[in-house]
Amino acid sequence: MKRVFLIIAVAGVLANARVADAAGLTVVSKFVAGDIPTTPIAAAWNKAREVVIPMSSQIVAKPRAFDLPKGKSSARRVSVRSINNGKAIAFLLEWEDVTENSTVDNPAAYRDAAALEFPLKAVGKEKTHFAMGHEDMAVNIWQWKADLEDRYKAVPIGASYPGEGQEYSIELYQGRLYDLPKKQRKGPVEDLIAEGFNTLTLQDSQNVMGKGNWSGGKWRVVFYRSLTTEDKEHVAFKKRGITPIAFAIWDGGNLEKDGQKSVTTWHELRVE
Amino acid sequence: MKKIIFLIAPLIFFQSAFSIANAAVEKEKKVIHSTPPIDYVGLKNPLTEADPKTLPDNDPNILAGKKLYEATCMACHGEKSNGKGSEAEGFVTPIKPVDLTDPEAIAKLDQGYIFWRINEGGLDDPFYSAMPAWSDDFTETEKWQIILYVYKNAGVSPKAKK
Repeated sequence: MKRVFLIIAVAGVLANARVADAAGLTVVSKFVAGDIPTTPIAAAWNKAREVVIPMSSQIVAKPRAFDLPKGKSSARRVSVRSINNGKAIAFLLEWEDVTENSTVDNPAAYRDAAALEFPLKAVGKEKTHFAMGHEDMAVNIWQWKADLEDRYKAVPIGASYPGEGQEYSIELYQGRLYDLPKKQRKGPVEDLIAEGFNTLTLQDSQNVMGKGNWSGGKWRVVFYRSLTTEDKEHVAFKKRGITPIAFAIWDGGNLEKDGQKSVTTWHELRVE
Repeated sequence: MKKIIFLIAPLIFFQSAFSIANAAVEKEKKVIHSTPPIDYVGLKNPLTEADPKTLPDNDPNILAGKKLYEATCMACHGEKSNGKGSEAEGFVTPIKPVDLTDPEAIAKLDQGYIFWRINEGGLDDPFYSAMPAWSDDFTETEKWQIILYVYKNAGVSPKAKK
């Protein structure tokens, strides 16, 4: 009986403890021995703790989500899990989306998409803006696009949508030569860099892989990459390290593209 | 029973200490406001010298400010200006949408400071927040109308001039 009282008392005390504050939530990348999961349905994902992160409409820069058909972006939360094996890291994003929008073959079609964002200089998450970073405070963005899932080789690189060129680039912004033909996609995820709005640019090397699956009104998308790369413009993850992380989701069914999307502010990724 | 007390007492002590420390940190955070650029220091609202809180609901500037607030600011700052708008939940770090009714927030600031925040938003140091820069979206008059409504809706007065 005493044990029961003890359990109740301790639970009562702990129930009052703060579990999250304005510092944001923490996604823990679970260490596993062996291979990391590279598909959304892999059983290994059950080993990782799910963190559900609230999302809001992108309103910082124009075009704002206020102008969308719904008057706001669709995704209100995203479920995140991560697993690493000391060499590579994988993320699973899951969110509700009643329509699958996987083609952009006609001008009225908009794709579903999702992105992870990391600051390249992690001197403190307050030091760069969650929305595309800042000049001299670049962010590395991994963007999965539903229409690239099975035909990434067929879609012209550099075009956000068919017929659209690369309107902006960090290289033009910095006065550097912009050499698209050197950049090649290896999958449905584009590895990008930005130093603020209108500077989004494909990285010279594309190292992020991914796989998406839509069923039952839900997208499940995996992103994966080696923990480190030789490219200084790619985020590097350290074992037992902490990196700010943010998320974005586009709902093609709500005509969301480019800056019109759901976003989060900075949260925290802790690599086991 | 003594064992139970021995086990629970430290937990209660640490929980209480943690709560007190947290409250102290929160309070300290709240009273820190940035210094506006010199161009904004001492700006006066050209529409009225009256305390916005005392203006009637049907004042034309209040009505105009209300319409603009509801179309733009309310999504984050909320219908009741308490920082709990429909878009507030995802904007967590480094600062949440401000609870304008908080006595430590706009009640501690003059209208020129609010004009600065509306104009330039939170893109830059030290804010890095989701607050958009509205400089090109509203006329000067509209910005002052929003400020009047913000104070009235929050039920607080601007910082009194010394």
